[in-house]
Amino acid sequence: MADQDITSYNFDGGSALNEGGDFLTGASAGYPLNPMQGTTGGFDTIYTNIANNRDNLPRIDATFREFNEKPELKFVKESFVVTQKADTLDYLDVAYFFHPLQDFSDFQKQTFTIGPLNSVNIDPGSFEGTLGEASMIIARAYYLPESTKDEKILFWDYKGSTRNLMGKIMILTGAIKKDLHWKGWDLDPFSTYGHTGPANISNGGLSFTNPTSKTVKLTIITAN
Amino acid sequence: MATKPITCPYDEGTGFKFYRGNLVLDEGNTMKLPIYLEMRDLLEETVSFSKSRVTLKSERSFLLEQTNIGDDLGYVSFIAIKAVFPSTTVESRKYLEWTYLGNTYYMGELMVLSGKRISATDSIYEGWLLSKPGVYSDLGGIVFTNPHTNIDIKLEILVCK
Repeated sequence: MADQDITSYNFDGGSALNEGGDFLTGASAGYPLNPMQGTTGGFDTIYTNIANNRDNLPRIDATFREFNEKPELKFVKESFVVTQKADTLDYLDVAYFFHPLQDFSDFQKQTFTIGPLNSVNIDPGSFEGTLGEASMIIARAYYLPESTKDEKILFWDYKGSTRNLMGKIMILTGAIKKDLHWKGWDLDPFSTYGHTGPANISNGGLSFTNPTSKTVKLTIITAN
Repeated sequence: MATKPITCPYDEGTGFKFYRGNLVLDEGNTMKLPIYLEMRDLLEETVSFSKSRVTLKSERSFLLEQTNIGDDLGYVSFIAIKAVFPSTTVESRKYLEWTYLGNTYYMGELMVLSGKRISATDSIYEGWLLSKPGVYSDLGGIVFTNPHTNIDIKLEILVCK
């Protein structure tokens, strides 16, 4: 209550009937003080007498900490780390992850802005050396600050199969072989590498769909 | 993907790696590594998590299920799996298979899946269901399969909700 009036008030709970005070009825949460004087009321209020006048109000120096702080997942140096306050609870070290670029390799970085209820097909790139297959796909999604938790998602479809979910990050890897279809991710929906025919996602391809009403920025690195 | 070799003097092959909170391209002959993707700004609040290590023997499968980590329907929001192959394994054999909801995909040395469970307009949930099959759904969990006859693969798994 923004009470600048230093007049004594007795808020003993059962009654505030006193000289200069106001009567507090038991079943009412009526205003003990005039709300036009800066106080608030009209809700259930419990009064505790902590001082009879302003000068007697105890001074405390309080530092607020969230003692129920939840753990967080972060990427620190070369690890996915679960932390709580300053403690590391556990981690997954990816320092030794290394995707080599061989003589037939290529890589591509694409950035999209996907509007609400829109989809994008990622460019198949120039992975002819491995017949359209990529062995590394790393995607980062950036959501608007005002997006709710339920709005921080994208769907992704591979070869038109059942859609899967993506939050802020996705990393997919596989194995490739030169001039062979092998164990990678086939990003090419075209049946010919000149891309002269129609695209057919069942041949290959990765698409991302934004099912929300907020715009999403998506950055993808692909490599073979 | 190769395990990054250690060679002196500094003259290693070109490739992508994680370095100081970023995805960088190491071109093998310079200490200035161009950044291709920032990772240090990744931040997710978690309520529960688990970390496990599994040795996936040759021609064996492993069911990743984390019923107690997931939400009230068994969904989790972050899965990271690192696969370590024997050092003598050639590049083209560094793969395993994973199956989720009846679809089978390939995985190399690293996979990260994320996303919080949502309800679609047709009332089907979307997300990463890691409850034990039969608890909330018949299709929960991810099955990892080692298709090789003579390679054991070590998996290190971090799951968060």
